[in-house]
Amino acid sequence: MWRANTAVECKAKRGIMKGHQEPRSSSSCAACKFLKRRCTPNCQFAPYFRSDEPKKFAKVHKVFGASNVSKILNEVAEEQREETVNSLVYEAEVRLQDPVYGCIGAIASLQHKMVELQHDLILARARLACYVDQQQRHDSESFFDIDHVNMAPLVDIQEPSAGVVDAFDYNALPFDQFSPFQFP
Amino acid sequence: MQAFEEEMPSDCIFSPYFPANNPRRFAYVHKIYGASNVGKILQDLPVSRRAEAADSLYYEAYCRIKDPVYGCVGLITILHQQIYDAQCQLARIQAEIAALSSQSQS
Repeated sequence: MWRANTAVECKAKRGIMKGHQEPRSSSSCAACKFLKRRCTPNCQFAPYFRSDEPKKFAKVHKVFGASNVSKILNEVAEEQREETVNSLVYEAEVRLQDPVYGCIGAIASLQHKMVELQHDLILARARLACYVDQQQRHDSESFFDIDHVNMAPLVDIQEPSAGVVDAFDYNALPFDQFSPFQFP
Repeated sequence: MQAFEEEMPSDCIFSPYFPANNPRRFAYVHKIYGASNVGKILQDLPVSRRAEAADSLYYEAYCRIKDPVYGCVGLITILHQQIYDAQCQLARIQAEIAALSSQSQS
């Protein structure tokens, strides 16, 4: 008589006695554990939701739902699915932290910071232009040595710039077309 | 919302934010989040915040449909990179100013 010596063997034996062909897998992915279903060898979620990361799937499930995640994964190429899952997890986390704005809040904050930086850059470039201009003036003035009889030809001194130098190309930035509240 | 017209009561949670004259708006959020999840998110918020939440959900859904791999997270990545580049540029210019400033003082 076969004796079950361990807990696993007990379970297996009960499974066999009940007529099940195989015991429930102890290596279910986090998604199947959450959904309380059997994790098959070709489970779509298993590569991306390991069993030791239960919260990852829980967050994605709460915001998007398992079937929507499955549909999104089916739409992308297999080599891009890991990136897709990572971005879905990130989006879900941010949405759970900020249920009103989600990632849009983060985008708005980054855009604001970008505008501030552009402003700082404009000021810094203008200041640099002033310094460069001062330097050029100083260099050209010191070139005229008044102790020498033969004066050197006049240096062609250009008018200084208006002060506002080239700033960022606003058109290159995505936030013009992705401004938070300019909806398609 | 027309897809759910017959099932939803007139005081449904979606109607103020997903009008029938803009079916694409609800279609997008339904495709990405599902009506049930959107309803739960809105339900958990005070009424005064629901319009903004519906707008942001619509925008994120739109981004995800346009870019199924990265959604709006792609934009966040781009902005982070551009902020980093701008900070580097600013640091370079400030270093140049400091160098010129000390040069002119000496």
